[in-house]
Amino acid sequence: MDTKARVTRSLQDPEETRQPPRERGGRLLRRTFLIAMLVVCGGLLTSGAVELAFRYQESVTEIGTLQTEMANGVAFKIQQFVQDLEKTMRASTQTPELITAGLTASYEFYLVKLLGLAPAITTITALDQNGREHLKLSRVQLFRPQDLQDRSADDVFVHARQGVSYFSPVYFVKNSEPYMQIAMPIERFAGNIIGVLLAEVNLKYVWDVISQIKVGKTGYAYVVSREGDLIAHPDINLVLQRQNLKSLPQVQAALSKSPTPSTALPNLAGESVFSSRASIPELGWTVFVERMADEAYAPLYHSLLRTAVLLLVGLGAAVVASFVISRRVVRPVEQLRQGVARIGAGALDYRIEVQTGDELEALAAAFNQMTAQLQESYADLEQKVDLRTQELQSKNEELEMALHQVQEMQNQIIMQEKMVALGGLVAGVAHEINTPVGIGVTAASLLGEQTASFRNLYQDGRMKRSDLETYLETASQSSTMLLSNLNRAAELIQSFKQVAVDQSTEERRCFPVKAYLDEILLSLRPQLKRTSHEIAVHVDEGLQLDTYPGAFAQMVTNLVMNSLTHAFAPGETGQITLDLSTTPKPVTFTYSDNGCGIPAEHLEKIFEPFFTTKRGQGGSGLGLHIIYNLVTQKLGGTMHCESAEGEGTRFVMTFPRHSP
Amino acid sequence: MRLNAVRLLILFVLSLPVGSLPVKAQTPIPRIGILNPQAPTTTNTTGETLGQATVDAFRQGLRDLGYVEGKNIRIEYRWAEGHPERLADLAAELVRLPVNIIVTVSMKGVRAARTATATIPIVSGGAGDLVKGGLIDSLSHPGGNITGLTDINPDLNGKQLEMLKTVLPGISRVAFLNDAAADSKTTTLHLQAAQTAAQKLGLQLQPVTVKTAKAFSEAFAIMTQQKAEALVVMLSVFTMRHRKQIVALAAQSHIPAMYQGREFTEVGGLMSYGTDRLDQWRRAATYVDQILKGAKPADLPVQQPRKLELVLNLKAAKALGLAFPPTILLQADQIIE
Repeated sequence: MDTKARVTRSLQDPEETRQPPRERGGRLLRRTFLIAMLVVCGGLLTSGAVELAFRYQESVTEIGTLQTEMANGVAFKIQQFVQDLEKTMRASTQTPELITAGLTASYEFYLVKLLGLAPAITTITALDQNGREHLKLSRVQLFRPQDLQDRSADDVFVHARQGVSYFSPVYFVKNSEPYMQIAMPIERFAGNIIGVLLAEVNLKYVWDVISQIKVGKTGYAYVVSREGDLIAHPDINLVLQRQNLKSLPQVQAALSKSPTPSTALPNLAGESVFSSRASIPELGWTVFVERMADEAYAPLYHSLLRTAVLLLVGLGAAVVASFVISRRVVRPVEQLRQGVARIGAGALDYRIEVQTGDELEALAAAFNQMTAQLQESYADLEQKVDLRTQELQSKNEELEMALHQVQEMQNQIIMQEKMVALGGLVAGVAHEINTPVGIGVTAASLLGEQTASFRNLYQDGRMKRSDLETYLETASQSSTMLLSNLNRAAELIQSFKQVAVDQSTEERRCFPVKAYLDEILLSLRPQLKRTSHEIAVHVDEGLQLDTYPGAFAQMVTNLVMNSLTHAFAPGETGQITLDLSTTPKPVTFTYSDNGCGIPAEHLEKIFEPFFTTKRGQGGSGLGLHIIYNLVTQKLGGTMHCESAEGEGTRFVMTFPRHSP
Repeated sequence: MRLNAVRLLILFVLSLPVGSLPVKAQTPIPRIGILNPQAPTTTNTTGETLGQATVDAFRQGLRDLGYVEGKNIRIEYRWAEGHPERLADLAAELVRLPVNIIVTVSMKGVRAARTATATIPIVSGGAGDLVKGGLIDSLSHPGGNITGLTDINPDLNGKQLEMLKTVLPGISRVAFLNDAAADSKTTTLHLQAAQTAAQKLGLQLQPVTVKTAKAFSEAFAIMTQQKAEALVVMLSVFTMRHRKQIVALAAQSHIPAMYQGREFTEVGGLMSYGTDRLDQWRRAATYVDQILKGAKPADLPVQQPRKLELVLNLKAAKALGLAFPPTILLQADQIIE
């Protein structure tokens, strides 16, 4: 019954055999999904990235352009401021008195007026055509004629004398306020220069222009001279502190006439700004318009953010779409797989349902057909299996019977062997006993004869001394012979008894091993006395055994006697060692002698009954057999022998401390 | 899955640092100490007060910058009432309070503040030459704890004499009225400048020093005695305080006087050429604002006056039987009828 049932069960049990394929189904979905996603998302990302890159570029350019326009505007305003000054000054160079009378003291009136018109001018000087100060008027200082100097060597005069307005480089008065000198020719009429009008302009007034400039929310403008000195800034302190901005990258770019970098740059306060510039060529000044990088780039960031968000949304949609599509493809495949798995697991009545109207549906139909056929063949198979099982069972029964018979025969053979052995044993014993008994009978009969003849002699009165002596001799000899042979017979019978049945008469008790061993050896002294062998005993002092002391004694006695008999030649001195320990197994009793050893061909037979190599010399062949039986049956242990010719003999016996 | 999302959301909301919503830290309201050499209002029968006006100008400046007294700024007023010897104690008082910034005017005021503290920022609302006075290293980088605005008054002495000469071309003797209580260094500078200028203009300068208020009439008596044809009055706390008296005495003595501040012209003085003090006080507020926002006085450059004004009083001129020449009229920034 079992085999059939087992086979069926395994076929119908899915869990046991079908774990891995479930994972493989998920993989297809994942793979399809991933590929679809990669393709779509890859496309989106690429286009998005390209778009972003370009937009960034364009935006930055736009910002730059816008701000540069603002800078141009500011530059224009400042230019206008200076040009207004210039214009006002020019107006003062075109007075009727100058045209008629030239440069005279009365011109002072116009200088006073000019000071009133142009608050930016601190000092106004009229130089004559040779460069000497003719008139000098200041808001702050008093200039008398004796204070007037020769300015003919000054740049301001030299340039203006040539007929064009001149704007000096920026310098700082009292190391605090920025100044510039504007010089222009005083022309009586075209080409006739009669002097130069020189104004010292306090550029603090440019600050008024700059501070009005508002650029976006965080923007500001400032002006830098040709040397990089700050001329005007919304924070006037920076100007009065004499800040030089040569270290700023945007200023460096301006001074070296290279384009301003369109990245975020640091300003004086260390903030990150977007900088644009415009120059005022006649003055050599550069106007900077800067906005905090955050504000300048804000529209850019917004635009980028928008694009990024759109991109993300697109990606999200792509992911979802890819997923949905993949599932639509993969689900029928998964259904197929699961169906096949179930069929494969044994559910042959299961039909796969896939209705996608495509090749997958056809595949499912084909599968179902196959399943139906499988079902049929399976039914067939089941029948055949049943048949086979029956056949096997009957065969099995036959075999069992045969086995039984064989066992019976085996028992019989054993019995027979036992019988044979016993017969052999009896024969052996009989043979053994026969010898001494025969000798005894012979000796007794001799004694009888001799006694009878001696009696006759005595009765006849013919007894002589020599006859008495002869008779005594004979009697003595005969009795000795009788005694020894009877003893021998008794010994043999004792041995035989032991080998035979009754061993259970002996009691079991607990005894200290060492002491007991000493006793045993003591009892063997008569035999040992005749030899010079050494016996060494190694026993743990406290070792106790709960076993049959008699058996134990027998063991030891037989082993010793064997050594005396077989191992050593007469007169030889040998060593016998007895070792009892609880390692490796409790108890291990190792008996060894360094005698002539046992040759290999005998080694396997030593434990057989009646096997001896000294049959004629007192060996009964039973000693080891007895011991073996004792150890294995009575003590419940094991015994084996290690020996080789010429290398001594060792018997290792193991048995539990408590015999069964 | 929905439950987990809801749980997450709740956890997230709870974890928002509700307690750390931006709450304005409770920093103490800054205190400004105004060390004014004048008195706010006068009990002096002939004097006119200026103290309150300048302080008001300063407060206006603060208001323009968004400071509201009591809300985000506090002002402590200490008036020396024309007694320069009190400045030291008043300054020390302000330092003890303590105040975040001391605002003062006049060289003596600045010096007194400087003696009282080397760490509390001192803003000058107008003092003589701070560089020459040894109070700052330079205009662009004052170093130390003093910044603010400077007058350029000593420099103007030349122009003032020149203008005086323009109005009165024929004069040769000009008295120079100064007071003993003023900062001696400043007085020296004024005198030097005036002397140099007088020489250039071919004038004889007659310095007259006044020690007490009572001594003014005496001073003018001396001037008359010395046949001074015109007068330049040095601007100081003392002269400012007693300007009405001075102007009256000048009118009485028929001495045309050039003053160094419009405050004199406004009370009847003939003419004045100098800085606009109220504007300076107003601008001092910007320094206070910057320092409160973290700027260091050592780095805040000292500013020179924005504008110099020539103020003429026609009434006074008429009383003296003078007519202002056109050149002067042309230069005038304001003409008082």
